[in-house]
Amino acid sequence: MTQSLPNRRAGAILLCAVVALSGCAAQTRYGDARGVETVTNQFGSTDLQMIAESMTRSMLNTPLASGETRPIMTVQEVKNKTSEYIDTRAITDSIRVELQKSGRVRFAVDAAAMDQQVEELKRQQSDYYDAKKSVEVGKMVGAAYRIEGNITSIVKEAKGVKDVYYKFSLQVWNVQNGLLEWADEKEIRKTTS
Amino acid sequence: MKLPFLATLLIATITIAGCAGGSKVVRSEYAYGCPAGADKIYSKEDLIKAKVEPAGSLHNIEVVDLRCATRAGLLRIDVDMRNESREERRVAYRLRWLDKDGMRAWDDESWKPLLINGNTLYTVTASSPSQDATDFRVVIMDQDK
Repeated sequence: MTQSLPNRRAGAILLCAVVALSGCAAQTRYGDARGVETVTNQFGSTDLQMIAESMTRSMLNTPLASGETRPIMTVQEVKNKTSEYIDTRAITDSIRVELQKSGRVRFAVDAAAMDQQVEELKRQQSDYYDAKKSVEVGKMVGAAYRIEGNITSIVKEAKGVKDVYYKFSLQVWNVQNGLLEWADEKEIRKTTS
Repeated sequence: MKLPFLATLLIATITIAGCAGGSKVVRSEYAYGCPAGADKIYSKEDLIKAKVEPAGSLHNIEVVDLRCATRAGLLRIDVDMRNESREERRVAYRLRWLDKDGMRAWDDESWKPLLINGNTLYTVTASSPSQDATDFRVVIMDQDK
């Protein structure tokens, strides 16, 4: 029943290894998804959230989105003119969600989702579907306004200090007459030393 | 015929005098243009105390004024914050939106970082996200920790 010396030694080594490994293992915790993120000075979640919120609230305070008519809009491209990779679609998606939730604006299918929309329309015209319960072709509604914008940055670095300045511009254009109906900007400055 | 008329006039006068008392509350549910909700607000200090919620301790940052107005059916708020120290201070703020029943009317906003220079007043402007958001709390967090 008593353990031999080599067995005891092996057990002790195994125990030490387990303790050492558990000490080295990275700890994972949930954080505040809306918290201020300053891990690096690259474009981050706080910048995305601040831009989306600022642009949405600004647009909702204009006559364009304050009536009962609920104008129909579509989201076009936000050009990334910075030197880093930024998923501008994530910004416009957040803006669209906030505007839609406000209940003051409606969105028509945009160019990026058009293929899926047409595919679904075609699919419902096939023999697999009951014609009486399928949607009709030619009933889609066009947007009265289109949203587009761009994001630019100026990066400067000297003596261990890196300064990044972002400027996000967004505009709403009237599709019918080509007039600029609304525009706003959001500036962000981040400095790392 | 004359007595009932005089009595009615007297009652009306007393009622009007009672309504126009010394209280600064303009309307029962509004104070200084801001929604008061269930809070009793008789001064600007009461309003700031009711609407501002420091998240943890907040040193040298004082909310000195709060103004509200309704524009395009949405609530617009100006919050004046003063940095009482000589050094620049970093804080983060966000607004919590409530509906007419005091329930949460919108998802958590993102924390917005703010740099306030020493002995300087900074005005934060916010706007409600929808018409359902009729009341608010300003939450401020120290970022210099």
